[in-house]
Amino acid sequence: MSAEPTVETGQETPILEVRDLVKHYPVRRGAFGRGAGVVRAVDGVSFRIPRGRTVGLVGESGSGKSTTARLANRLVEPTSGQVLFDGADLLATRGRELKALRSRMQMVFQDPYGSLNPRMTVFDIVGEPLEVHGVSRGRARTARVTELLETVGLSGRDLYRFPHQFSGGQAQRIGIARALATNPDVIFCDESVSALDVSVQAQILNLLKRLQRELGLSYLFIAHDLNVVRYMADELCVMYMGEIVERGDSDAVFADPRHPYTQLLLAAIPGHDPATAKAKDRAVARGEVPSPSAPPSGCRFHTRCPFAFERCTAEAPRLRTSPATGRAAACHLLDDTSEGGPS
Amino acid sequence: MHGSPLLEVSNLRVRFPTRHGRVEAVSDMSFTVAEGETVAIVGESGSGKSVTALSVMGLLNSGSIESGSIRFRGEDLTAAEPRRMRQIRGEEIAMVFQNPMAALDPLYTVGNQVAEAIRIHRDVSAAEARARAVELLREVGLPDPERRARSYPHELSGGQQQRVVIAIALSCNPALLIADEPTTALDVTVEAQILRLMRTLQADHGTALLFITHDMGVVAEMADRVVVMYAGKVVEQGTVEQVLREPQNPYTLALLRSIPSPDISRDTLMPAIRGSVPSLLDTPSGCRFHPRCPRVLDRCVREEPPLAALPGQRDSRCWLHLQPDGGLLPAESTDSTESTESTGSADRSARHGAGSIQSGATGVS
Repeated sequence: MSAEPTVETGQETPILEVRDLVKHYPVRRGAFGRGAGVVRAVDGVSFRIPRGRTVGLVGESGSGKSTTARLANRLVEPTSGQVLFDGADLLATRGRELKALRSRMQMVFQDPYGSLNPRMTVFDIVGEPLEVHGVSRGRARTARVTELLETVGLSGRDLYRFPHQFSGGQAQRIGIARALATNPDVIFCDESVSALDVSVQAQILNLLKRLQRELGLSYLFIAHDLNVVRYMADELCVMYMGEIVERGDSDAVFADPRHPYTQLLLAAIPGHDPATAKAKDRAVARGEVPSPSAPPSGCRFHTRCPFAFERCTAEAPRLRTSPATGRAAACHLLDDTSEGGPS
Repeated sequence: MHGSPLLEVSNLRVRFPTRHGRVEAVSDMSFTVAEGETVAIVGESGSGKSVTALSVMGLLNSGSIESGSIRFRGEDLTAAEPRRMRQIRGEEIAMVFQNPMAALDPLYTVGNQVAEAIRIHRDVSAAEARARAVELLREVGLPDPERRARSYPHELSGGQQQRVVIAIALSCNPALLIADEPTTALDVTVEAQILRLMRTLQADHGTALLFITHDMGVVAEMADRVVVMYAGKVVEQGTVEQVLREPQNPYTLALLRSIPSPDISRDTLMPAIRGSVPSLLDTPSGCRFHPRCPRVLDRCVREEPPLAALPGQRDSRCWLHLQPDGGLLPAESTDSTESTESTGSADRSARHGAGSIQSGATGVS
């Protein structure tokens, strides 16, 4: 670990910071690509991941969560914007330097089997990052892989087994061991527990928590299950159609969502108590996410927003941060009083 | 209860041939669905919940019903001719699947597909069927149904596609609608819309619902009664209040506790269930949950507990209920060791894991 987990001071350089990240994909209409447009998959996203903390990214499918994660670790090249990893400008780095930075950020994917090569043994899967980054070879590599497996609750006996010989939860442990191989500072968890059975999901969440505590890891945590995100994330970013519409301390946002979209999203979380689940009509958001190739004018949420007024259709609200609380939301209703909001 | 059972499944046993031998996906499964009632079958992967649904529909491909009966309005569907089953499917019992894109034909407009479903079972003209299709699309809340009827499935969003599938399912006003994870592929916001739609339609038409799901939130919202399955067996059944608020079976209790709730602090670990869901190729001896159970007894390893009738018209499969002390579970009975992460014990018990191997992580501290 290059960075010891330290006490939050607010002044400390975050392990990862993205500024105004943009990714536009060209789309072609018609047989000869005439009338080309762009899909604004990610459109001006900024956030920081403090060391040893977890930032949760939530939003409906197509909101740009996964693309944001892939831009932040430069698996996808951004159209514009800035990524600062431990203070270094990731987008300006090349070659060996980039490789060195990349070894410090890893990903754990959704499908535990799909993300493991079925023809490779566990030793090869977990050992490959060590080879790529030239960390260790020979007997030292075997020892390191064994140590990694033990860290995630597997053992040296699993070294020469293949992914299909493991259950879904165990396969995800292998994916986590692989991510840990290069001693990363940040792990991007993109729906990493979503495909697991409920009874196994909790084990993996606990494993991620323990690793964070022991290794000082920072996570960017993406999940569609909002209760899972609430449990994992210290800070929350809510995305809608490629933009962050609300950002802030996770407990504060869950307790008191400011943006109308966040309010709808949180109200849609199913309750587990039959008495209240039936009585309470889960707030039903109007309509669905519009096509990303033709986003609504003004505030992109105005077509579904129960509070929309004229200004919302004409002018896009800016994400404003309240100096007092550090919370941010992009909504015209919140413009005058940074503390008030629709309720 | 809502009157005489519409559907009565008794001692159902379903097997599938596999490369590794025959697998019993559903064992000794019994449950009923009354007219207008919503029953949820809940379970994790490999529990047999979907196979149960497909058995009722007569859609088991390679699998076969070894024994037991499926009575719909008294008629045993396991003995029904294929021709009779085709009549029942769609007209009496309809089904909604998880992936609407797979349920719809990409080459036909959605209006055509709804109209086709109507014409298979009703003697109406093409024009009448089309008009009825538009009405149905309106009823399931598709915006601008006249225009949308001329859309192809790929032109609709996932939620809209699922509305079309529901329109097809309801086209002949079936008495029973089977929904297998109908909202699992959808966003929570759209899930809320679809579940509300299903409740409204059920209230309007008096349709009985058999809901197959792994999601306790969906169960809480939809179900009157709940059947909990584990590794092909029913482990608990009762009303939704009984099962979700006062679960008696250690599996149900542990499962409910392992769902992240808003109340759990980020600084504590989740109460996880050790090990993994067993493979049907290698089901544990005795009680199928015993390798993962926090309250396992010697007897559980050797002998399978019967589904015991408990006070209040509910059942649970656990030896604890048959202990001399009467042994209903106290409300908070799981021991504290569970709340540690304990990956070591997790993987020791994984020798019964899903197609898995013994990890033997005994060395892990």
